[in-house]
Amino acid sequence: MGVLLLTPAASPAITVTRDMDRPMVSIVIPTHNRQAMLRRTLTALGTQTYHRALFEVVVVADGCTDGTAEMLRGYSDSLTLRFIEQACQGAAAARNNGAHQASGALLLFLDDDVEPSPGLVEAHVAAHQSRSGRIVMGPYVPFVHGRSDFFHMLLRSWWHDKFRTINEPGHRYTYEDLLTGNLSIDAELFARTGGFDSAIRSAGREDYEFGARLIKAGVPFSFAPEALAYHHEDETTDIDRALQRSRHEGHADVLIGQRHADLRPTLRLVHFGEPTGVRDFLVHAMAFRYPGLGDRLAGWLRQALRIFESLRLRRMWRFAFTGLRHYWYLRGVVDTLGSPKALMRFLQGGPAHSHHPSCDMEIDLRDGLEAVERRVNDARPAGLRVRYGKHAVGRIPPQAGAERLRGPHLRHALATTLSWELWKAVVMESASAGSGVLPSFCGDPLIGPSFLRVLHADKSL
Amino acid sequence: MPTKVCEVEFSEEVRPIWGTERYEWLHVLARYRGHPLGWITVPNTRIEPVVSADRVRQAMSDQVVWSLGRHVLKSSAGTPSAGATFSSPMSVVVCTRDRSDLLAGCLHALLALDYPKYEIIVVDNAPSSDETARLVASFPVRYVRENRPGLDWARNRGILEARHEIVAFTDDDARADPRWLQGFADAFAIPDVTAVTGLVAPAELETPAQQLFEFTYGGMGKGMQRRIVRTQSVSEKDLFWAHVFGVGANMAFRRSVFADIGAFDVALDVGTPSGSGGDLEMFHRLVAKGYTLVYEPSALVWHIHRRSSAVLRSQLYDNGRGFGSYLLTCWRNRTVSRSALLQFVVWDWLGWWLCRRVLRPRGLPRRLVLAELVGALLSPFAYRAAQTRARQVCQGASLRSDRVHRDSTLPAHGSSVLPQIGHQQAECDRSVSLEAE
Amino acid sequence: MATAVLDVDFDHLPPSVTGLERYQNAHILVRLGGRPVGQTTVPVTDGCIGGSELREALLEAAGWRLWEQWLHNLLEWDERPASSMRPSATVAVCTRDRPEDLQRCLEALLRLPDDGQELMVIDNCPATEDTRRLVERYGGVRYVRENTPGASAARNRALREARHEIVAFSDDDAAPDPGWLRALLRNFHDPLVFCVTGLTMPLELETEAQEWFESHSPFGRGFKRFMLDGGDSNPLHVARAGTSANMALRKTVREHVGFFDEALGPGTRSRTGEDFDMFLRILTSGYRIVYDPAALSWHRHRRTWQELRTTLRGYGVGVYAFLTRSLLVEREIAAPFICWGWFRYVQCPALVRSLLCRPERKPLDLLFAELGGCLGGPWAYFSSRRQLRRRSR
Repeated sequence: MGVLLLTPAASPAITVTRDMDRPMVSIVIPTHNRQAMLRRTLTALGTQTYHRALFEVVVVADGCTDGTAEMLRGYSDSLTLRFIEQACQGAAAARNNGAHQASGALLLFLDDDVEPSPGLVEAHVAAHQSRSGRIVMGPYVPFVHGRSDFFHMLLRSWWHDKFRTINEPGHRYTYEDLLTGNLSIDAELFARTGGFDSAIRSAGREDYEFGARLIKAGVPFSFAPEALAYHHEDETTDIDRALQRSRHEGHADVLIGQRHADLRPTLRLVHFGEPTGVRDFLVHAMAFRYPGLGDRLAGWLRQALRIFESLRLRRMWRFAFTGLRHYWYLRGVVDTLGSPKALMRFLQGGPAHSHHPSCDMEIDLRDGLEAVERRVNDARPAGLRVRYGKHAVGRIPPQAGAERLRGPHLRHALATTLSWELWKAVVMESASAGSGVLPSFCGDPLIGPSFLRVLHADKSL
Repeated sequence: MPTKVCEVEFSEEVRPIWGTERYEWLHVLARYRGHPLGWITVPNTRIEPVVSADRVRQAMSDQVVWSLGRHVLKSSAGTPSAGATFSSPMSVVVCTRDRSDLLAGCLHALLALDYPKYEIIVVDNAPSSDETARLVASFPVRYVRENRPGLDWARNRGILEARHEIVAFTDDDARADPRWLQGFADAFAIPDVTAVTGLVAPAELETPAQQLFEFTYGGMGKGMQRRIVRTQSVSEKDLFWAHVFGVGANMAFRRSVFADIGAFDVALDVGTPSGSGGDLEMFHRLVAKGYTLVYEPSALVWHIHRRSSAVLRSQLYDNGRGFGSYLLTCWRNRTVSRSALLQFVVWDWLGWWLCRRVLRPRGLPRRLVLAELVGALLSPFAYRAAQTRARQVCQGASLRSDRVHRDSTLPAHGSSVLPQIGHQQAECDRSVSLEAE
Repeated sequence: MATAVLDVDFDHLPPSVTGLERYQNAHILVRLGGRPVGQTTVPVTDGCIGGSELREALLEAAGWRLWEQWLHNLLEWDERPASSMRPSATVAVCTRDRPEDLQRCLEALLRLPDDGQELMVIDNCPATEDTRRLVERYGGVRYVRENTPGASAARNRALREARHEIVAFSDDDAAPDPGWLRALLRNFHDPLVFCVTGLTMPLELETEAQEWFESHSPFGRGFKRFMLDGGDSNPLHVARAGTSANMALRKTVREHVGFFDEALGPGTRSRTGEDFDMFLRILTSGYRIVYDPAALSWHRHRRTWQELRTTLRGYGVGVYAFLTRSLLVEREIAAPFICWGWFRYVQCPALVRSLLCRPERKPLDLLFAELGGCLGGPWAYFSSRRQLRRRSR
């Protein structure tokens, strides 16, 4: 590390023009005392396939005291670099600040512990060019580091599963899918939505809050798997920090719930209104009534985790760790709300849970799958009632904080959660319609693709 | 609370079910193009006089859709409908004894069968009056009187009297479904099949005894799935559990098979001291000797189960007695090795099936299980008595009749009592001689 | 009592199957559009299986998997993420003096669609030159000779020699299906997946030993794709993960998990267990194993009863050697509980059933061979290690 790659990847033929095809990109990196990691990120930015003159890097140092500024000077001739210093205000404020100072038409937020692959900027630009006015996220998968302690294994699995589910065909985005570690957005759109909420300071939930606003504004999310980056999360996270973060999350969730009352049912703290199970009951009692004792017990349990790990007691470790996380999360909630009564009041507020079914759209799959998908794409309903002929197949319910439905969501639901019901409806329909419906249900070849021509184009039958 | 039994055909419009004012539950046989799919249970907790079509349809889609899917697929696969290739005429044999009221219903059902060509033969077994004869005279069916008491005497007589290659048997307390013979024909279309048994569904579930028999004891139905039973595909133990192959109230055979393996054993079944077991013994012998048996659920008859619990108890007692006698017959005939039989009797039948159920009856009243166990323990004596009786009947018959039919092509089988079949009364009816085969 | 092995696709269902005069039963793999959805055994009468009987049996066997697959085909939906990036692979066959088997395997491998994969034969400590001569007849197959005896050593050699990112292993007595490699590779899209195993079906069931093996300890693990993650399941339950006869590893397993343990595996005193050990270490290091039934390979089981007994004895030895290693080297204190669970819930009931002559009984000689192997397992591991140390000195 520390070798400066001053020559960007060969791209001689590009004429530097600031037109619509190749917009100016501003890469905003908030950082806080992580000089070495930031250096790795900047080095990787020096090797981008996107032309060097077409992007600038805006580093926002949030109360840095480790000589980040001096380090950055070494990069001034390999990158167009802008450096902003601010007092310790949190990552949200730093991103807002950086975006405000940036000159590019496209903002690309990177975290300082994220190492971009050479094609990252180009992939983001390409994704925006195919359709503008949306959010593009790239994966920043955990760097394969070979550490095999339980905590890092868990963390790594979590990140991978997150990106895998987002990447699944027909994934329905929610506000919790917005991750700021590798995200690009039109500068103009960013300004219009008002940027991150800097009141949610410390712990990574300002992105969820931002996501909630974007979802409500109907900004489409998309995922560009080619915009790959590696996340050196093992260097920045450990158990103690994760637990501390849980406390901040509790705090931030309350704030999100206060700003967006309709999201309250989706927040994790809902589960603690009525604790079930011995562990959660204990956690609840400790956090609300005896925090002094609770903190001490939590400290001991934290030590016990080491013992569990050395004995390879995986399930016990998992149980204890989850308990600890819940405890610190609730402490965060208590910090903000104060008493169990306040939590009750908080949960009592907000809109009624059941959504009025009239906001559902009703579709009949016998019209043909493509046609139905087109209709859903045009109407973008919040919920969907699916029928097949006379027979009800099921419902895709409206979901607070999730985007409105598109065609692929329907396909995904039909292939997974509704598959059994769909099959049932097809069988019932073809049986009750007598002999004529499925003449080539399965001839010889038995079940050709013809079997459910019914779904594809009913007119032919 | 009585349960209403009815059926719903799914390839037609599902109609509401009327006449449910006395019933809390409906036990509905769901069918698709005549094939039984399975039983569905529709609750009628508010005892309404009619159950709407929507509720029936909903219950179907919850309970039998899997088998419906299979049948829809199969029927639209254009599987060459076996009935098209097989429609040879059949003889239907009904054996009865002094139950003319039940027999009338049975004959009405048989006369309404949907099959191109068949004959009906009523075998009146040692009747105490001529009531049956008078009743049958009003139907266009053949009447044969068999004076030797015992169901298997009557069955063997029926085989002799039958004019067609396929002989189907049913009981006087059973009501055949219109597609009954068609179901047999579908199964006989498989070339190597020599015997077919069918589904026996309860015709009514009015009394606690009937519900007990159907739901807790297991009833007579053997499932909704066609099963092909071949010697190589069943283990030796399964061969003994012949009651899973079918029930005597609903079975059909190629007549030629009796020439090879012999007729029904006359020391067994109703009317003799052994009480039952003749049908089981036949299935067992058939499969053990390498013939193929098919259980075909679309050959369906509705059976009126015993209404009172006292009769049910005696039926279970008979079952125990009959099963024991059947196993003793196997012992004599050496259809399977005797060590395997011994092991089966001690471990599986007495131990697992009877004693375990006496200890843990699982909802069945213990006295019923005990009745079966007592029957099982007494079966050696019953079998002994039945054999003696059968021998006496044979001798009596040969003494009485001057002409014993030497032209009988039904050979004696094994070392058991010879089923001396043939009777001067039959002489006039037998226009078509058996040698014609 | 031979059983025919058939491979039937619903898309090309034969009107009936004939010409099976030698067989009494047919073991049928059911596919839909090339993907396996189920298996069943159907009796053969007079050398043929009738069309309607076949159809019914296949529908019954495939069950919901068939419909699910059909629905997914219809919706053009795949649970595996679509990816334009297909990693390149090296196919390695480790062999030792079995030229006839190897020839069948190589011919199957040459039928794989050409995606630029490299074919490699690792000849493990050969007694003759037959293997080399055989391989030289096929162009484009690399021949590597490894003189340390043991399948682990051969596999490690393959991991070192491979030119591509993924190394797919096939046994020399297996014959992969043409779609095998592609199906394996599709699952490596997730960077945490270090190992993919596939469905292994019997190539032939001609003898009683083969039939018995297939019905009592089959290599297949069902027709549903699943993923094992060390984080949320007990990593010691590795037997579910599949077998080494049909698996692929990411080459970086060398750095992050390590090589195969050369004290385990065929050719050493421990006889088997090297694959279990690798699976265990992959899981405890936090990586993932995917079982994908679409990756199909046909395996020829041992033909004679004698060989079968030796194989089962080898399983007993290998599993206990592996558990000994996990307890002592990996410090998995749950290993003795696995032994106990296996003995209490599998071996003990089987023994009781056999002694009482209950149905579903296993032959006693096989059971005793397996149990005897178990007793000798720990010692076999220690002596194998000692041997290894002596050799490296």
